[in-house]
Amino acid sequence: MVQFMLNRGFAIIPLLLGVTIIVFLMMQLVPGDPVSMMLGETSAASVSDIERLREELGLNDSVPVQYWNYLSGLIRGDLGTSMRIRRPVTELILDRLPSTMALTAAGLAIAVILGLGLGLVAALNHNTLLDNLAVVAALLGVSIPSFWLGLMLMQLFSVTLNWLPVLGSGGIRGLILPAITLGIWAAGDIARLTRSGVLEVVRQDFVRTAQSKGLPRARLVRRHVLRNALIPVITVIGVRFGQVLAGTVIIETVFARPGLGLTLVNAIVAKDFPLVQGIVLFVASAYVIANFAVEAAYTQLDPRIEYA
Amino acid sequence: MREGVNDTSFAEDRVSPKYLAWSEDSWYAAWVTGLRKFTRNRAAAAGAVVVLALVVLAVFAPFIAPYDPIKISPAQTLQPPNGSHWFGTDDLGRDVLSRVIWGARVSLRVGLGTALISTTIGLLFGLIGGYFGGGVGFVILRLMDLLLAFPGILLALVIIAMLGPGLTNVMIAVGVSAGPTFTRVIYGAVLEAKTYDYVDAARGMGASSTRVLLRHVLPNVMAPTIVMFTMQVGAAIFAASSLSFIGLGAQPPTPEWGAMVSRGRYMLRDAMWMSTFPGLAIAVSVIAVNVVGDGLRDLLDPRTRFE
Repeated sequence: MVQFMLNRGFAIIPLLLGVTIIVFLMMQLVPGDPVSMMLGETSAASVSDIERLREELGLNDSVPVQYWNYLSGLIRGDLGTSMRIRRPVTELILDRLPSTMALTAAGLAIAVILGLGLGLVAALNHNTLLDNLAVVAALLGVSIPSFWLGLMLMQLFSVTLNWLPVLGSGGIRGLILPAITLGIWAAGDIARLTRSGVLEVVRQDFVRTAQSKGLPRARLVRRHVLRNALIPVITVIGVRFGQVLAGTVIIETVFARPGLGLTLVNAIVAKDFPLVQGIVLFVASAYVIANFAVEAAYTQLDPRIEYA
Repeated sequence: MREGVNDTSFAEDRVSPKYLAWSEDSWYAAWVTGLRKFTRNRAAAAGAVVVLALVVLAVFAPFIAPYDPIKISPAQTLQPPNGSHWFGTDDLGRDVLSRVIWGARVSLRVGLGTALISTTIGLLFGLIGGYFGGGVGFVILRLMDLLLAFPGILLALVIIAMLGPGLTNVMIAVGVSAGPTFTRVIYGAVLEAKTYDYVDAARGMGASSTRVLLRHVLPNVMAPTIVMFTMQVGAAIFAASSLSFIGLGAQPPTPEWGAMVSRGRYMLRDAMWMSTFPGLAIAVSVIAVNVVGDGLRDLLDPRTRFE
């Protein structure tokens, strides 16, 4: 395990470095001069002012030097300063992070519970009405646009029934609808994969052996079927984490939750590139590290998997 | 695998069954059997009917839509669904049904354009990387891994941040961001095709790399490519409408489904129809395309049925 952590841990460093290069180059490839964008088109700044600002921002250095400066800033936790909000990007991210993490965690939890449950019920009742219903539900989950589903749920539970607040974070109660909306969207794939995984395992010899020696069904499912069927599902949950995290961009817009996603959308519209860069870098790194954690969990769950 | 080139005794039973389906005289028969098998899958057949209906709506939108989708009519604002406006009218008095019909054209164009971009990227890098392997393959795979570190729509958002909002840019962004997935699948299929004896035989007879790639390897990667292309049309309609919803895609007055849902969200309480119908249109189209994709996968590429 320790060996694995060391090997893989070092392996993700080039990947993370690559991510920083892409995010850095993104800024370089944007057409237009960052200084004039910062000052706005109508600014009355003189040529010497502009030149001074360029020098101050290090824009007159060569691209590799600029990248080096960017990277050493990153290591110190400095992601630059937002052009519009005029606050350090790191501060803004930390500010908006709790709301987004709460939504991601709740959404992922709902997705996993819903997906596993649906997939298991479908597979254990293979080729019955229940199975068909579950398959259709999974298809609906991945096909119904989450922004629309969110609006419809909001209309039903907040406007018509008046059970939940309409907009804004509003603590736990405000989290319910966004998390459900996000969860339903991500549950579809988990359900499909659980179903096919369980169907595969049920056909194995050891399941038939366990069955013929008279093992109670509940125990058979728990000890023999689920344990084996869940291995691929866990990988997918790692991938889903990233998609759920990125999906908060849509959900936060629907429910007007001031999190990272909504901040990213506003930053893109406002061409606030340091903020865009910072959030993109943060989300991608979180995703890479989460997948590393999932892989580490893998070796614990399945002793057959061994990484040299 | 090299020594198999001159050894003809095993040639017959080692020919890939897929190759047979591409031989000239069985071409028609293969289509007929394929179509029969596809229509036996009732879900896929129903999905195909819906997709066909969407194509008809998209192509003949000017003749089918009862009203102009863009013309503002101040006297007709916010009418609930009724006899002359089946889906009601929006806050500018535009007929929602007509806008949904024109929206089919917008969405199909975006879906097909996006899928074409992803497929082109996937074929280009997958074929070159998989066939030549070595350093080229390594670099291509690592680059794709790197791009896959940006989850979900994040990569598309990065590209939009660079290019600016708009429907064409959304098409490019979503198309490019799915490129790595296409490349990886096609790369794998090429690696497998490379082990077939007739590919070796063609090389042994002195065929050029281009010829081997296009005549012998490409047909073998077509099955997963067609399935991915179909799935991508659905995924792109989904992603593009999401991006339009958050304001980065289609700009007013374009009748785009996601943008229509977005416009209606502030009037949910009083004019629910403004958001409901375009949202339903997205859901129905995406479901139909996905079901057709599933059917095609069972038919063409049964090995990948489970993930």
